[in-house]
Amino acid sequence: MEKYYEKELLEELHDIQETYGFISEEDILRISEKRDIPKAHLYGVISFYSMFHLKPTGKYIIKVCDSVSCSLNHSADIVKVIKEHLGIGENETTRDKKFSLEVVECLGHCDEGPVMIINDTYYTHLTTNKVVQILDNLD
Amino acid sequence: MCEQIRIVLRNAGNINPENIEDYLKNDGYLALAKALESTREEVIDIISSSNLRGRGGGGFPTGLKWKFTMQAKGDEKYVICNADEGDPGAFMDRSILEGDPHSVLEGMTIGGYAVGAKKGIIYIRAEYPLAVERLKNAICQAKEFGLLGENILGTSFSFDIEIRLGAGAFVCGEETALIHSIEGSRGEPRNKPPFPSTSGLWGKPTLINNVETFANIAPIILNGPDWFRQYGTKNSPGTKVFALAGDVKNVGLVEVPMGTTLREIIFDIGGGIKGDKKFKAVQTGGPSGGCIPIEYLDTPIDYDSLQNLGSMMGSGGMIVMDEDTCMVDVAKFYLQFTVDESCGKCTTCRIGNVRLLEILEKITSGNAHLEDLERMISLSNVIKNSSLCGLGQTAPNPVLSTFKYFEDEYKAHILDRVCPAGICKNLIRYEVIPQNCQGCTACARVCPTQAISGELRKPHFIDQTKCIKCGSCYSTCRFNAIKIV
Ligand SMILES: Cc1cc2nc3c(=O)[nH]c(=O)nc-3n(C[C@H](O)[C@H](O)[C@H](O)COP(=O)(O)O)c2cc1C
Ligand code: SF4
Ligand code: SF4
Ligand code: FES
Repeated sequence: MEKYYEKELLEELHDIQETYGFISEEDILRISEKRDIPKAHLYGVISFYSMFHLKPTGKYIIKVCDSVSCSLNHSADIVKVIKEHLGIGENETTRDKKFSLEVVECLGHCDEGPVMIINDTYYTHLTTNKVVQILDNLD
Repeated sequence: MCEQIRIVLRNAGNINPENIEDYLKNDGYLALAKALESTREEVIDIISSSNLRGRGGGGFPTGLKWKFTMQAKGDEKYVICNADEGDPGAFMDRSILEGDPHSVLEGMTIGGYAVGAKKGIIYIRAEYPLAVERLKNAICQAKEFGLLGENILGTSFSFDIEIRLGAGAFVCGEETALIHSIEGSRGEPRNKPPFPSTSGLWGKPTLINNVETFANIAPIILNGPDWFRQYGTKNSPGTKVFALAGDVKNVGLVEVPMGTTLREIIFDIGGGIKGDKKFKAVQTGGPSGGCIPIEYLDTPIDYDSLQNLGSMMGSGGMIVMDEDTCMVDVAKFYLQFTVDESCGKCTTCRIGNVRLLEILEKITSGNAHLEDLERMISLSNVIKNSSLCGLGQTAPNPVLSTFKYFEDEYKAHILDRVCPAGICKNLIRYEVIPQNCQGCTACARVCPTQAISGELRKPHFIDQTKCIKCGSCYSTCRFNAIKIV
C-alpha cells in the first residue's frame, strides 16, 4: 500500500488475462518475485476467480447465461446450438483457438434473455438462428 | 392503480449519462455543494433521520454506518461502492450505473466528506463493461468540473474515486470478501466484528454501501429527511427499485415506494402473467430469498415483511413464475447456484449444500422417500446455523420456502412419482393423442432421436424407449396432439 501508483494484484492479473488470454507460469514467477509473494498464494488467487485462466483460451470467450430467468427463456437451447456449431463442450476451446465456451450465472440482463457476452459485447434476445449468425460474423 | 415514484431512477433514461451537463441541469451536484457548506455531523444527521436503510440486501441503517465510520479512529479512511451485483435476476445496479453514473459518484463524495475519507473505490463486476466505461467517463468529467479531485468546489475537501474490477466470483459481493479481493487475495469472507467501519480496506475504517444506497443520498440531502420519509413505510422509508423478470408481461425495472404490494407490482405495473397463464409464485431476494405464493400477494413489502414470509428483500430481483413452473426444480436451480459460488471456507456451506442438492435431485428424479424430506429440513437448518457468511446462512431459503408453501408438490414427486408442473424429465412422458393427431409428420421430423413414427395423415406414435424427453415434439405440434403425462 506504500506504493500508491503500483497497480494492485487483481488489476495486473486482469491486464495479463486480457492481453494473452491466460496467465502463464512465467507471469506467475515474475509477479511472485516482483511483489515478493509466494507462488502458492498466486495460484490460490488465480484459481479462486473464474475469469482468470491458467491455460490458453480462445480469441473470443463466449459466456452464455443459464441462470433462472434466461433458463425460463430456454437458454439451454442456445448452449446446445453453440456446442454443436463449434464442436466444443463447456470450458473448452476450439482447435483454431478462436472460441472458448463458458456457461455462467446471471449476467444482469435478465429482462432481455436469453443472453450471452462475447468478450465485452452483449447479445440479447437470442434465438438459435441468431446465435449461429453472430458466431459466423466474428473474424 | 399504484404509482411508480422515481427517486433513484430520477434521471435514468431522461438524461445523457455521458454528459455531465445533463446531470448538472437536473440539480446535479447541488447536494454536494450543500453538504460541503454543512458540518460532517449535520450531513450524517440528515441521513440518520431519513431512516434510509442499505439497499444491498441487509437493510442496515445507513446513517448509523456513516456515523460509526466517522467516529472510527484513523488517519486514512475509504469509501467503497459495492457494485458487484450478481444475484440471479438482479440488474438494478447496472441500470443505475449505466443510466446515471453521477448520482452514485455524488453520493460517494458526500459519504467521503461525512466520514472523513479521501479515497473512494467502486468495486464492479467485470461483466458490466458499459457501466465501467460510463463510470470512467463520468469520473473524468467530474474532475474537469472540480467536483472530484483536489479542493472540491474550492473547499479544503479532496476526494478521488477509482474503479476496481471483480473477476467472476459472486461471493465477492459480501463486504469482507470484497475487501479481500481489492487487497489481492482470494475473495473469502471473514468473521465480523470487526466491521469494515472500524477495520476495512488495508485495515482502515471503511464505509461500504451499495450502488442504490448511494444513489439515494443526493436527493435526501437536497430535499431533507421529511421529504424522504413521506414515501414508503415507517421502518423502511423511501423507494426500492425492483428488477421484474420471468413470466410477467412487462419485464424491466420498477421503482415503487416500500410497502407497495406484490400484487400491485406484478399485476398493475407488470401487467400480469404472460400468455394468460396463472400466477404461481414470485421469487424475491435471489439465492438468499424464497418463493412467495398467491396467498401473500397482498402483503405490503419491505425488509421485515419479506423476511417474515421466509424470503428476503435481497438486492431487488423479482422473478415471476407461472403455473408451468415446478417449485422443486426452482429450489434446485438456486441451490445449484450456491453450490457453484460457495467459496468453500465453511464445511456446512461447501459440503452441506452439495448434499442438499443431492436430496433435491433424488426428489426430481423420482427416487426419494418421505424420510428424505426430514433430512432435507434438518440439513437446511444446520447449514443456516453454522455457516459464516450470508451466502451459506441463507442458501437453504429457496428450499425451505418452496417446501413451506408447496409441500404437496414435493410429496407428489415422492409418493405419486409425478411432477405436477410437467417439468421434471424423469417423471414425465410425452404421448400422442390419436384423436387429435393429423399425421402431419412435423414432430417426427424434429425429434432428435427418431423416436416418433407414423404415416402421413395417420396418427403417430412415440417410442418411449427412444424418447429423451426433449419436448421438441410438444412445442412443434400445431394440433395439440401431444400431451405430457
Ligand atoms: C454472498 C453475498 C453477496 C452479496 N452481494 C452483494 C452485492 O452484489 N451488492 C451489494 O451491494 N451488497 C451485497 N451483499 C451485501 C454486502 O455484504 C453489504 O452488506 C452491502 O454492500 C452493504 O451496503 P448497504 O448497507 O448499502 O446495503 C452481499 C452479501 C452476501 C452475504
Ligand atoms: S458460508 Fe459459504 S460462502 Fe460464506 S464463507 Fe462460508 S463457505 Fe464461504
Ligand atoms: S405434430 Fe402433432 S399432428 Fe403432427 S404428426 Fe405429430 S402429433 Fe400428429
Ligand atoms: S438470468 Fe440471465 S441475465 Fe440474469
